[in-house]
Amino acid sequence: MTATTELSVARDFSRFPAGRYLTDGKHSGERFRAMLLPKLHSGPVRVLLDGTLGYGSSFLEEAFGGLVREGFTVAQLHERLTLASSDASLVTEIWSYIDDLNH
Amino acid sequence: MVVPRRLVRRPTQSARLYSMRVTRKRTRRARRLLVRAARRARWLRRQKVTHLLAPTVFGLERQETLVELVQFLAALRRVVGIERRRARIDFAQTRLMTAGGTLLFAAELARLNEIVGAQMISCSYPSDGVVAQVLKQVGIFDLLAQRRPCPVTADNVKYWRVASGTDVDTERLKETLEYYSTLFSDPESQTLYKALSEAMTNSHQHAYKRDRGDGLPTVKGWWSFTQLLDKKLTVAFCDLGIGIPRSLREDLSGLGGTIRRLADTFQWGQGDAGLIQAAMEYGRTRTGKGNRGKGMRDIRTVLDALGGKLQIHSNAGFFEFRAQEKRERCKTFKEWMSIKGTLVIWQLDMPEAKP
Repeated sequence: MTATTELSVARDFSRFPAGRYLTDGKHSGERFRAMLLPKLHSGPVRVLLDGTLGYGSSFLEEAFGGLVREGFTVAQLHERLTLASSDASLVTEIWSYIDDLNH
Repeated sequence: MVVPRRLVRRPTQSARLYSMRVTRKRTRRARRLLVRAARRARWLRRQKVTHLLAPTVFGLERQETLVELVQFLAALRRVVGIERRRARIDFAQTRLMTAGGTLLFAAELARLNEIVGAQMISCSYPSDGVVAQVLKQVGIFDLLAQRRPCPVTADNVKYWRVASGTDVDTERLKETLEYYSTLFSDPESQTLYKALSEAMTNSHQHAYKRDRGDGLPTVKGWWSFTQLLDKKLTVAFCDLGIGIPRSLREDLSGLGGTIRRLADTFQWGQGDAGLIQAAMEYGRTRTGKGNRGKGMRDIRTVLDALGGKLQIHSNAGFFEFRAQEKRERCKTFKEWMSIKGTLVIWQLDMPEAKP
Protein backbone atom coordinates (compact mmCIF):
# COMPACT_ATOMS: atom_id res chain seq x y z
CA MET A 1 0.00 0.00 0.00
CA THR A 2 1.33 3.47 -0.93
CA ALA A 3 2.30 5.77 1.94
CA THR A 4 0.24 8.91 2.52
CA THR A 5 1.91 12.13 1.36
CA GLU A 6 1.43 15.14 3.60
CA LEU A 7 0.99 18.59 2.11
CA SER A 8 0.73 21.66 4.29
CA VAL A 9 -0.82 24.68 2.59
CA ALA A 10 0.90 27.15 4.91
CA ARG A 11 4.31 25.46 4.81
CA ASP A 12 4.50 24.16 1.25
CA PHE A 13 2.41 26.74 -0.58
CA SER A 14 1.54 30.04 1.12
CA ARG A 15 0.13 31.55 4.29
CA PHE A 16 -1.90 33.86 2.01
CA PRO A 17 -3.91 31.58 -0.31
CA ALA A 18 -6.23 33.71 -2.45
CA GLY A 19 -7.70 33.90 -5.92
CA ARG A 20 -9.08 31.33 -8.30
CA TYR A 21 -7.07 31.20 -11.53
CA LEU A 22 -3.34 31.42 -12.25
CA THR A 23 -3.96 34.89 -13.70
CA ASP A 24 -5.37 36.08 -10.35
CA GLY A 25 -2.06 35.87 -8.55
CA LYS A 26 0.76 33.74 -7.28
CA HIS A 27 -1.22 32.11 -4.44
CA SER A 28 -4.26 31.02 -6.48
CA GLY A 29 -6.36 27.86 -6.15
CA GLU A 30 -5.40 26.70 -9.64
CA ARG A 31 -1.71 26.92 -8.71
CA PHE A 32 -2.25 24.95 -5.53
CA ARG A 33 -4.20 22.33 -7.48
CA ALA A 34 -1.27 21.99 -9.89
CA MET A 35 0.87 21.19 -6.86
CA LEU A 36 -1.64 18.73 -5.42
CA LEU A 37 -2.51 16.83 -8.62
CA PRO A 38 0.72 14.84 -9.18
CA LYS A 39 0.74 13.84 -5.52
CA LEU A 40 -2.86 12.61 -5.75
CA HIS A 41 -2.09 10.65 -8.89
CA SER A 42 0.65 8.79 -7.11
CA GLY A 43 -1.27 7.96 -3.93
CA PRO A 44 -3.26 9.18 -0.93
CA VAL A 45 -2.66 12.75 0.24
CA ARG A 46 -3.34 14.41 3.57
CA VAL A 47 -3.72 18.20 3.21
CA LEU A 48 -3.03 20.24 6.34
CA LEU A 49 -5.13 23.39 6.22
CA ASP A 50 -4.05 25.11 9.44
CA GLY A 51 -1.48 27.88 9.59
CA THR A 52 -2.78 30.18 6.87
CA LEU A 53 -4.52 33.48 7.52
CA GLY A 54 -7.71 32.08 6.00
CA TYR A 55 -9.27 30.86 2.75
CA GLY A 56 -11.58 32.44 0.22
CA SER A 57 -14.30 30.34 -1.42
CA SER A 58 -12.84 30.92 -4.89
CA PHE A 59 -9.51 29.46 -3.81
CA LEU A 60 -11.09 26.42 -2.17
CA GLU A 61 -13.51 25.71 -5.00
CA GLU A 62 -10.81 25.90 -7.65
CA ALA A 63 -8.18 24.01 -5.64
CA PHE A 64 -10.41 21.13 -4.53
CA GLY A 65 -13.58 21.28 -6.64
CA GLY A 66 -11.26 21.68 -9.62
CA LEU A 67 -9.91 18.17 -8.98
CA VAL A 68 -13.22 16.77 -10.24
CA ARG A 69 -12.96 18.92 -13.36
CA GLU A 70 -9.45 17.49 -13.83
CA GLY A 71 -10.87 13.98 -14.09
CA PHE A 72 -11.04 12.56 -10.56
CA THR A 73 -14.36 11.11 -9.50
CA VAL A 74 -15.87 12.18 -6.20
CA ALA A 75 -15.50 8.61 -4.91
CA GLN A 76 -11.81 8.54 -5.81
CA LEU A 77 -11.27 11.79 -3.93
CA HIS A 78 -13.06 10.52 -0.84
CA GLU A 79 -10.74 7.55 -0.97
CA ARG A 80 -7.45 9.36 -1.55
CA LEU A 81 -7.84 12.82 -0.05
CA THR A 82 -7.80 13.61 3.66
CA LEU A 83 -8.31 17.16 4.89
CA ALA A 84 -7.02 18.13 8.31
CA SER A 85 -8.01 21.33 10.05
CA SER A 86 -8.84 22.54 13.54
CA ASP A 87 -11.86 24.22 11.93
CA ALA A 88 -14.33 21.46 11.05
CA SER A 89 -16.55 23.85 9.05
CA LEU A 90 -13.67 24.45 6.64
CA VAL A 91 -13.38 20.73 5.90
CA THR A 92 -17.17 20.50 5.43
CA GLU A 93 -17.08 23.48 3.08
CA ILE A 94 -14.36 21.90 0.91
CA TRP A 95 -16.16 18.56 0.69
CA SER A 96 -19.35 20.40 -0.27
CA TYR A 97 -17.54 21.92 -3.26
CA ILE A 98 -16.35 18.46 -4.29
CA ASP A 99 -19.64 16.67 -3.65
CA ASP A 100 -21.66 19.36 -5.46
CA LEU A 101 -19.86 18.48 -8.66
CA ASN A 102 -21.13 14.91 -8.43
CA HIS A 103 -24.60 16.09 -9.47
CA MET B 1 46.63 122.12 -23.29
CA VAL B 2 46.35 120.85 -26.79
CA VAL B 3 47.16 117.20 -27.24
CA PRO B 4 49.05 116.62 -30.38
CA ARG B 5 47.01 114.67 -32.86
CA ARG B 6 49.62 111.98 -33.23
CA LEU B 7 49.31 111.07 -29.56
CA VAL B 8 45.52 110.10 -29.78
CA ARG B 9 45.39 106.34 -30.37
CA ARG B 10 42.96 105.38 -33.02
CA PRO B 11 41.63 101.80 -32.98
CA THR B 12 43.22 99.55 -35.44
CA GLN B 13 41.21 97.77 -38.09
CA SER B 14 41.48 94.44 -36.25
CA ALA B 15 40.33 95.98 -32.93
CA ARG B 16 37.29 97.46 -34.70
CA LEU B 17 36.43 94.09 -36.19
CA TYR B 18 36.88 92.40 -32.82
CA SER B 19 34.54 94.90 -31.15
CA MET B 20 31.91 94.39 -33.87
CA ARG B 21 32.12 90.64 -33.43
CA VAL B 22 31.64 90.94 -29.66
CA THR B 23 28.65 93.26 -30.07
CA ARG B 24 27.07 90.96 -32.65
CA LYS B 25 27.65 87.98 -30.37
CA ARG B 26 26.03 89.79 -27.44
CA THR B 27 23.04 90.78 -29.57
CA ARG B 28 22.59 87.23 -30.79
CA ARG B 29 22.76 85.93 -27.22
CA ALA B 30 20.21 88.50 -26.02
CA ARG B 31 17.91 87.55 -28.90
CA ARG B 32 18.31 83.87 -28.07
CA LEU B 33 17.42 84.56 -24.44
CA LEU B 34 14.35 86.52 -25.51
CA VAL B 35 13.19 83.70 -27.77
CA ARG B 36 13.77 81.21 -24.98
CA ALA B 37 11.83 83.37 -22.49
CA ALA B 38 8.96 83.73 -24.95
CA ARG B 39 8.95 79.97 -25.51
CA ARG B 40 8.91 79.34 -21.76
CA ALA B 41 6.09 81.85 -21.30
CA ARG B 42 4.07 80.04 -23.98
CA TRP B 43 4.80 76.69 -22.26
CA LEU B 44 3.78 78.11 -18.90
CA ARG B 45 0.57 79.49 -20.41
CA ARG B 46 -0.18 76.02 -21.74
CA GLN B 47 0.73 74.54 -18.36
CA LYS B 48 -1.46 76.99 -16.48
CA VAL B 49 -2.45 75.45 -13.19
CA THR B 50 -6.15 74.90 -12.68
CA HIS B 51 -7.29 75.36 -9.12
CA LEU B 52 -9.86 72.86 -7.92
CA LEU B 53 -11.68 73.35 -4.66
CA ALA B 54 -11.90 70.08 -2.74
CA PRO B 55 -15.27 69.09 -1.24
CA THR B 56 -16.17 70.12 2.30
CA VAL B 57 -16.86 66.50 3.15
CA PHE B 58 -15.23 63.50 1.43
CA GLY B 59 -18.16 61.19 1.99
CA LEU B 60 -20.66 59.05 0.09
CA GLU B 61 -23.33 58.45 2.69
CA ARG B 62 -25.48 61.49 1.97
CA GLN B 63 -26.59 62.59 -1.47
CA GLU B 64 -25.24 66.15 -1.17
CA THR B 65 -21.75 64.96 -0.17
CA LEU B 66 -21.81 62.27 -2.85
CA VAL B 67 -22.68 64.89 -5.51
CA GLU B 68 -19.92 67.21 -4.32
CA LEU B 69 -17.31 64.42 -4.35
CA VAL B 70 -18.35 62.90 -7.67
CA GLN B 71 -18.28 66.34 -9.38
CA PHE B 72 -14.88 67.12 -7.90
CA LEU B 73 -13.43 63.79 -9.09
CA ALA B 74 -14.95 64.26 -12.57
CA ALA B 75 -13.34 67.74 -12.78
CA LEU B 76 -9.99 66.31 -11.69
CA ARG B 77 -10.17 63.57 -14.35
CA ARG B 78 -11.13 66.08 -17.03
CA VAL B 79 -8.42 68.65 -16.22
CA VAL B 80 -5.53 66.27 -15.59
CA GLY B 81 -6.48 63.12 -17.49
CA ILE B 82 -8.21 64.44 -20.61
CA GLU B 83 -6.90 68.02 -21.02
CA ARG B 84 -3.48 67.12 -19.60
CA ARG B 85 -3.24 70.35 -17.59
CA ARG B 86 -1.76 70.74 -14.16
CA ALA B 87 -4.14 70.97 -11.23
CA ARG B 88 -3.78 72.32 -7.72
CA ILE B 89 -6.25 71.04 -5.16
CA ASP B 90 -7.36 73.50 -2.54
CA PHE B 91 -8.35 71.85 0.74
CA ALA B 92 -9.26 75.14 2.45
CA GLN B 93 -12.91 74.17 2.95
CA THR B 94 -12.44 70.47 3.70
CA ARG B 95 -13.59 69.58 7.20
CA LEU B 96 -14.32 65.84 7.18
CA MET B 97 -12.85 62.82 5.41
CA THR B 98 -14.71 59.52 5.77
CA ALA B 99 -13.18 56.15 4.96
CA GLY B 100 -15.14 55.55 1.76
CA GLY B 101 -14.78 59.03 0.28
CA THR B 102 -11.09 59.26 1.13
CA LEU B 103 -10.35 55.82 -0.33
CA LEU B 104 -12.15 56.67 -3.56
CA PHE B 105 -10.17 59.94 -3.82
CA ALA B 106 -6.85 58.18 -3.12
CA ALA B 107 -7.62 55.56 -5.77
CA GLU B 108 -8.49 58.22 -8.38
CA LEU B 109 -5.27 60.11 -7.61
CA ALA B 110 -3.14 56.97 -7.88
CA ARG B 111 -4.80 56.10 -11.20
CA LEU B 112 -4.28 59.61 -12.62
CA ASN B 113 -0.64 59.61 -11.51
CA GLU B 114 -0.25 56.29 -13.32
CA ILE B 115 -1.78 57.73 -16.51
CA VAL B 116 -0.21 61.21 -16.72
CA GLY B 117 2.80 60.82 -14.45
CA ALA B 118 3.47 62.34 -11.07
CA GLN B 119 3.84 66.11 -10.48
CA MET B 120 0.75 67.03 -12.51
CA ILE B 121 -1.37 67.39 -9.38
CA SER B 122 -0.36 69.39 -6.33
CA CYS B 123 -2.26 70.70 -3.35
CA SER B 124 -2.44 73.48 -0.82
CA TYR B 125 -1.91 72.56 2.82
CA PRO B 126 -5.32 72.01 4.46
CA SER B 127 -6.49 74.51 7.04
CA ASP B 128 -7.99 71.73 9.15
CA GLY B 129 -5.32 69.89 11.14
CA VAL B 130 -7.10 66.53 11.24
CA VAL B 131 -7.76 66.63 7.49
CA ALA B 132 -4.01 67.21 6.97
CA GLN B 133 -3.23 64.22 9.17
CA VAL B 134 -5.65 61.99 7.22
CA LEU B 135 -4.06 63.03 3.93
CA LYS B 136 -0.63 62.32 5.35
CA GLN B 137 -1.54 58.99 6.93
CA VAL B 138 -3.22 57.49 3.87
CA GLY B 139 -0.46 58.57 1.50
CA ILE B 140 -2.37 61.29 -0.39
CA PHE B 141 0.26 63.90 0.49
CA ASP B 142 2.87 61.65 -1.14
CA LEU B 143 0.73 61.35 -4.28
CA LEU B 144 0.38 65.15 -4.36
CA ALA B 145 4.07 65.83 -3.62
CA GLN B 146 3.14 67.76 -0.47
CA ARG B 147 6.37 67.70 1.56
CA ARG B 148 5.41 69.86 4.53
CA PRO B 149 5.96 67.89 7.76
CA CYS B 150 2.74 66.72 9.36
CA PRO B 151 2.96 64.56 12.48
CA VAL B 152 0.01 62.18 12.73
CA THR B 153 -1.19 62.20 16.32
CA ALA B 154 -5.01 62.11 16.21
CA ASP B 155 -6.41 58.83 17.57
CA ASN B 156 -9.00 58.54 14.84
CA VAL B 157 -6.30 58.90 12.18
CA LYS B 158 -3.13 57.19 13.33
CA TYR B 159 -4.58 53.65 13.22
CA TRP B 160 -5.48 53.78 9.54
CA ARG B 161 -3.65 51.11 7.54
CA VAL B 162 -3.37 51.49 3.79
CA ALA B 163 -2.68 48.89 1.08
CA SER B 164 -3.00 48.65 -2.67
CA GLY B 165 -2.14 46.22 -5.44
CA THR B 166 -3.06 44.86 -8.84
CA ASP B 167 -3.31 41.09 -8.39
CA VAL B 168 -5.18 38.97 -5.87
CA ASP B 169 -2.37 39.27 -3.39
CA THR B 170 -3.50 39.26 0.22
CA GLU B 171 0.15 39.32 1.28
CA ARG B 172 -0.03 43.07 0.65
CA LEU B 173 -2.41 43.22 3.59
CA LYS B 174 -0.02 41.10 5.66
CA GLU B 175 0.65 43.74 8.30
CA THR B 176 -3.05 44.48 8.78
CA LEU B 177 -4.22 40.86 8.70
CA GLU B 178 -1.52 39.64 11.06
CA TYR B 179 -2.26 42.49 13.43
CA TYR B 180 -5.96 41.64 13.50
CA SER B 181 -5.29 37.93 13.80
CA THR B 182 -3.56 38.69 17.11
CA LEU B 183 -6.72 40.46 18.32
CA PHE B 184 -9.42 38.13 17.07
CA SER B 185 -9.90 34.41 17.51
CA ASP B 186 -8.99 32.30 14.48
CA PRO B 187 -12.49 31.79 13.01
CA GLU B 188 -13.21 35.52 13.28
CA SER B 189 -9.99 36.73 11.68
CA GLN B 190 -10.34 34.02 9.02
CA THR B 191 -13.82 35.25 8.14
CA LEU B 192 -12.39 38.71 7.59
CA TYR B 193 -9.62 37.24 5.46
CA LYS B 194 -12.22 35.39 3.42
CA ALA B 195 -14.26 38.54 2.80
CA LEU B 196 -11.22 40.55 1.75
CA SER B 197 -9.72 37.88 -0.48
CA GLU B 198 -13.07 37.40 -2.25
CA ALA B 199 -13.53 41.15 -2.74
CA MET B 200 -10.06 41.16 -4.30
CA THR B 201 -10.79 38.13 -6.50
CA ASN B 202 -14.11 39.61 -7.67
CA SER B 203 -12.42 42.87 -8.51
CA HIS B 204 -9.59 41.16 -10.41
CA GLN B 205 -11.87 38.86 -12.41
CA HIS B 206 -14.73 41.21 -13.24
CA ALA B 207 -13.94 44.89 -12.69
CA TYR B 208 -11.50 45.49 -15.52
CA LYS B 209 -12.87 43.36 -18.32
CA ARG B 210 -14.02 46.55 -20.14
CA ASP B 211 -13.10 50.24 -20.16
CA ARG B 212 -14.36 52.28 -17.28
CA GLY B 213 -16.01 54.62 -19.76
CA ASP B 214 -14.49 57.90 -18.61
CA GLY B 215 -12.29 58.44 -21.67
CA LEU B 216 -9.09 57.42 -19.86
CA PRO B 217 -7.04 54.25 -20.21
CA THR B 218 -7.69 51.33 -17.89
CA VAL B 219 -5.40 51.06 -14.89
CA LYS B 220 -5.97 47.80 -13.04
CA GLY B 221 -5.78 47.99 -9.30
CA TRP B 222 -7.39 47.84 -5.90
CA TRP B 223 -6.99 50.03 -2.84
CA SER B 224 -7.83 49.32 0.77
CA PHE B 225 -8.04 51.07 4.16
CA THR B 226 -8.53 49.45 7.53
CA GLN B 227 -8.98 51.02 10.92
CA LEU B 228 -9.67 49.75 14.39
CA LEU B 229 -11.20 52.36 16.66
CA ASP B 230 -13.60 52.28 19.60
CA LYS B 231 -14.19 48.53 19.25
CA LYS B 232 -15.21 49.00 15.62
CA LEU B 233 -13.20 47.64 12.76
CA THR B 234 -13.66 49.46 9.47
CA VAL B 235 -12.40 47.84 6.28
CA ALA B 236 -12.82 49.64 2.98
CA PHE B 237 -11.97 48.11 -0.37
CA CYS B 238 -12.19 49.88 -3.71
CA ASP B 239 -11.62 49.37 -7.42
CA LEU B 240 -12.12 51.75 -10.35
CA GLY B 241 -13.58 49.25 -12.77
CA ILE B 242 -16.89 48.84 -14.54
CA GLY B 243 -18.87 48.22 -11.35
CA ILE B 244 -21.05 45.31 -10.20
CA PRO B 245 -24.22 46.40 -12.07
CA ARG B 246 -22.49 46.69 -15.45
CA SER B 247 -20.54 43.48 -14.90
CA LEU B 248 -23.73 41.65 -13.98
CA ARG B 249 -25.62 43.03 -16.99
CA GLU B 250 -22.81 41.85 -19.28
CA ASP B 251 -22.63 38.43 -17.65
CA LEU B 252 -26.38 37.93 -17.63
CA SER B 253 -26.60 35.86 -20.77
CA GLY B 254 -23.84 33.53 -19.59
CA LEU B 255 -25.22 32.94 -16.12
CA GLY B 256 -28.55 31.44 -17.04
CA GLY B 257 -31.98 31.46 -15.52
CA THR B 258 -31.30 31.78 -11.79
CA ILE B 259 -29.75 35.21 -12.05
CA ARG B 260 -32.41 36.34 -14.51
CA ARG B 261 -35.14 35.45 -12.06
CA LEU B 262 -33.27 37.15 -9.20
CA ALA B 263 -32.60 40.24 -11.27
CA ASP B 264 -36.31 40.39 -12.07
CA THR B 265 -37.12 40.04 -8.39
CA PHE B 266 -34.76 42.89 -7.53
CA GLN B 267 -36.14 45.18 -10.18
CA TRP B 268 -33.81 44.35 -13.01
CA GLY B 269 -33.56 47.35 -15.26
CA GLN B 270 -34.80 49.61 -12.48
CA GLY B 271 -31.35 50.62 -11.36
CA ASP B 272 -27.90 49.79 -10.11
CA ALA B 273 -28.95 49.18 -6.48
CA GLY B 274 -31.31 46.39 -7.56
CA LEU B 275 -28.48 44.75 -9.44
CA ILE B 276 -26.10 44.91 -6.48
CA GLN B 277 -28.82 43.33 -4.36
CA ALA B 278 -29.36 40.67 -7.02
CA ALA B 279 -25.62 39.91 -7.04
CA MET B 280 -25.61 39.57 -3.25
CA GLU B 281 -28.66 37.33 -3.26
CA TYR B 282 -27.24 35.29 -6.14
CA GLY B 283 -24.08 34.56 -4.17
CA ARG B 284 -26.02 33.78 -1.00
CA THR B 285 -28.44 31.33 -2.57
CA ARG B 286 -25.97 29.62 -4.87
CA THR B 287 -24.79 26.81 -2.68
CA GLY B 288 -24.49 23.97 -5.07
CA LYS B 289 -24.95 25.11 -8.60
CA GLY B 290 -21.57 25.19 -10.23
CA ASN B 291 -18.36 26.89 -9.36
CA ARG B 292 -19.09 30.63 -9.59
CA GLY B 293 -20.87 33.33 -7.64
CA LYS B 294 -19.73 32.49 -4.12
CA GLY B 295 -17.54 35.55 -3.63
CA MET B 296 -20.40 37.94 -2.96
CA ARG B 297 -21.70 35.53 -0.32
CA ASP B 298 -18.35 35.63 1.52
CA ILE B 299 -18.37 39.41 1.44
CA ARG B 300 -21.60 39.31 3.42
CA THR B 301 -20.98 36.24 5.60
CA VAL B 302 -18.37 38.09 7.65
CA LEU B 303 -21.26 40.02 9.24
CA ASP B 304 -22.83 36.80 10.52
CA ALA B 305 -19.62 36.06 12.41
CA LEU B 306 -18.74 39.53 13.64
CA GLY B 307 -21.90 41.71 13.41
CA GLY B 308 -21.96 45.28 12.17
CA LYS B 309 -22.86 46.66 8.77
CA LEU B 310 -21.88 46.28 5.15
CA GLN B 311 -22.14 49.05 2.58
CA ILE B 312 -21.56 48.60 -1.13
CA HIS B 313 -21.39 51.55 -3.49
CA SER B 314 -21.12 50.46 -7.09
CA ASN B 315 -21.62 52.91 -9.95
CA ALA B 316 -24.90 54.70 -9.13
CA GLY B 317 -26.13 52.01 -6.74
CA PHE B 318 -25.93 51.79 -2.97
CA PHE B 319 -26.65 48.71 -0.87
CA GLU B 320 -26.50 48.47 2.91
CA PHE B 321 -27.01 45.52 5.22
CA ARG B 322 -27.14 45.83 9.01
CA ALA B 323 -26.54 42.51 10.72
CA GLN B 324 -28.19 43.30 14.05
CA GLU B 325 -31.51 44.47 12.58
CA LYS B 326 -31.14 42.10 9.58
CA ARG B 327 -32.19 45.07 7.50
CA GLU B 328 -31.27 45.84 3.92
CA ARG B 329 -31.43 49.29 2.34
CA CYS B 330 -30.96 50.12 -1.32
CA LYS B 331 -30.81 53.33 -3.27
CA THR B 332 -30.09 54.11 -6.89
CA PHE B 333 -28.77 57.60 -7.54
CA LYS B 334 -28.92 59.38 -10.87
CA GLU B 335 -26.53 58.05 -13.51
CA TRP B 336 -24.30 61.15 -13.41
CA MET B 337 -23.75 60.56 -9.68
CA SER B 338 -22.02 57.22 -10.43
CA ILE B 339 -18.75 56.70 -8.54
CA LYS B 340 -17.51 54.72 -11.59
CA GLY B 341 -16.23 51.78 -9.66
CA THR B 342 -16.98 49.70 -6.59
CA LEU B 343 -16.43 50.50 -2.96
CA VAL B 344 -17.14 47.93 -0.24
CA ILE B 345 -17.11 49.06 3.39
CA TRP B 346 -17.41 46.68 6.32
CA GLN B 347 -17.97 48.18 9.74
CA LEU B 348 -17.57 45.28 12.09
CA ASP B 349 -18.12 45.05 15.82
CA MET B 350 -14.87 44.03 17.38
CA PRO B 351 -15.21 40.79 19.32
CA GLU B 352 -13.76 40.33 22.75
CA ALA B 353 -9.99 40.28 22.69
CA LYS B 354 -8.21 36.93 22.67
CA PRO B 355 -7.71 35.53 26.16
